[in-house]
Amino acid sequence: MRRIRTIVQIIFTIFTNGYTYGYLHGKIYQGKLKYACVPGLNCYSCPGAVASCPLGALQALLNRRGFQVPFAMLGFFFVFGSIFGRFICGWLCPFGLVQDLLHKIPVLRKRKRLPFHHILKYGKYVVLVCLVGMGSLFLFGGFAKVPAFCKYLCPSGTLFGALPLMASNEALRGQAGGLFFWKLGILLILLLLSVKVYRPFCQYLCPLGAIYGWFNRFSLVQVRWERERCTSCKACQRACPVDLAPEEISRSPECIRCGKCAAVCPEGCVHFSPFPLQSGRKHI
Amino acid sequence: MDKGRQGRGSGMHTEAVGRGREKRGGHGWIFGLLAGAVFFGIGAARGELSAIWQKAVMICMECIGIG
Repeated sequence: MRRIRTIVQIIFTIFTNGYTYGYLHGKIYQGKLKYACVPGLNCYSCPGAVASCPLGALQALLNRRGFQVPFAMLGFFFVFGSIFGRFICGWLCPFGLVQDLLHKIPVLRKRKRLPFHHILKYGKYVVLVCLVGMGSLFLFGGFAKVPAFCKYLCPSGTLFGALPLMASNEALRGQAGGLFFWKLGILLILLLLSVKVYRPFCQYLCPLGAIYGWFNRFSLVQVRWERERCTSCKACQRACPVDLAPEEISRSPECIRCGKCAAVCPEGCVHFSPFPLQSGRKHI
Repeated sequence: MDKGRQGRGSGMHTEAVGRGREKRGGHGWIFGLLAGAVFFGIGAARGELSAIWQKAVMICMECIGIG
């Protein structure tokens, strides 16, 4: 399961960032595919990006003059969230893949969570409300509103957008200033932390995870736990990278549907399934 | 009582609540999907996809830490 997930993550990342011309010439794709968004965090200023970033798009709509409800992005989140929930985080997010790969590096003793996790986990909701919402609506750079999350926090934009663009575009390289180094610092801290702690950005800061997490309780893609067959061996909780108990798996907003619980359950009572299952039913 | 029923959160009340939640959540995704389709249609009709495209085809200076 773990290998399948990594392969899916890599294929999806290459597929959605496959505009090779952009990497070679320091430009970005400008075709019609950018009318659509990818489901995961994927900066549209990445030279390889063939579609838009959902958070960038949401902020672009909030940045318009006055206040207009961003219906298109609400619709996008409802559609993808209702089908996948945070499956998107676990399987289809390029920045999640980067953190997963870093966490595999066999140095340091690994931690699932940071100290004060029970408080810090609400950080992503604060980022969603303050930076993506209020920041984009009320923060002005000159006369125009600014996409506050992209500008001050987003590590995906720095990693997939700024670094490759600056590597191949000298004009942009010359403009790097304090803001760039602030964002580079955030990126480096998160990448280093990822070696020790499992997906710190996703667990504590990602507003997209906060949005999709809300859909976890009723999304189509679920990891079902059969209470009647469970022997309480806790193998699933030990395998869970975010330390969820069996009854929390899938419905918790923290569950990214990585499937590790399903892979290790000796009784086979945890499994991917779109619908509630009867006890004792056989699963493929 | 078998071993599974001695586990965490395995009381009768918790079990009933769990099943109730499962039933309620069973088809919620369909309503979410339909609501999403309606919202998306309204947004597209208001030209929001063009606004997204116009932003996405220019290098976003804020995103790369310059603007």
